[in-house]
Amino acid sequence: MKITAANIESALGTLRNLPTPVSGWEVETGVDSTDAPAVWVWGYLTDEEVDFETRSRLRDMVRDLVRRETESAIWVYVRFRGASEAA
Amino acid sequence: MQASLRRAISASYYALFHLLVDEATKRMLRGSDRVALRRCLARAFGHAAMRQVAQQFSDCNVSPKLSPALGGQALQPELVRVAGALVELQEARHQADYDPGHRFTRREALDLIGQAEQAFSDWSSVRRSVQADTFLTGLLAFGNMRG
Repeated sequence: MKITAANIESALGTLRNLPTPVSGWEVETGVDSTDAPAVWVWGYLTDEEVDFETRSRLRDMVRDLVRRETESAIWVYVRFRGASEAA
Repeated sequence: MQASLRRAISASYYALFHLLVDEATKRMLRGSDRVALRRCLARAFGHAAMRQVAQQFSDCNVSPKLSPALGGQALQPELVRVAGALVELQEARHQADYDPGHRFTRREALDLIGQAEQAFSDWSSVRRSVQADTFLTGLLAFGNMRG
């Protein structure tokens, strides 16, 4: 899969059995502060309180999916926001 | 609001950065009569090189320059998390300090702060291991290691 925000967002939409509900995804691609290609994924969490372990599992799921789908070792920055914080 | 979130994210990165630098320099130069020398050594740590090594540990794909020290053992998950947090926080710190166009939310900032807090906890459980020493050695010296 070509590394585009749209492709990655579409792939994220296929994720099932998430450890906590996610109301939506936002994806950006570009180069990071070290000039390396990178992907940023923001997951909008439905629940108000999500513990670290749960966020960590979700972070790993997202990172694995992006790397698997893009067949690359690109770094994936995974951030979480509240569903109510969606723009 | 944005200024507070940015300061908190930046402070979280630097807290973890200084924890690791402090651990490394104290192991290399012990004693109260070497405080000044430790400060000199601390200035040898570079953010970019630290990031490079942290990414290797986070990906469990450590360079052959360092991997012999690991003795073929799987990396401790706590150390992997510390390394991942360093990478995540360094990038977030860069955005917080230099990208005024990026808007952080409160929960985003809390998640990043939480990663730093967890990294402190994880580090305390692995800090006496050979793997931790290998990580610290890489943070300082990887860029100068010959293949």
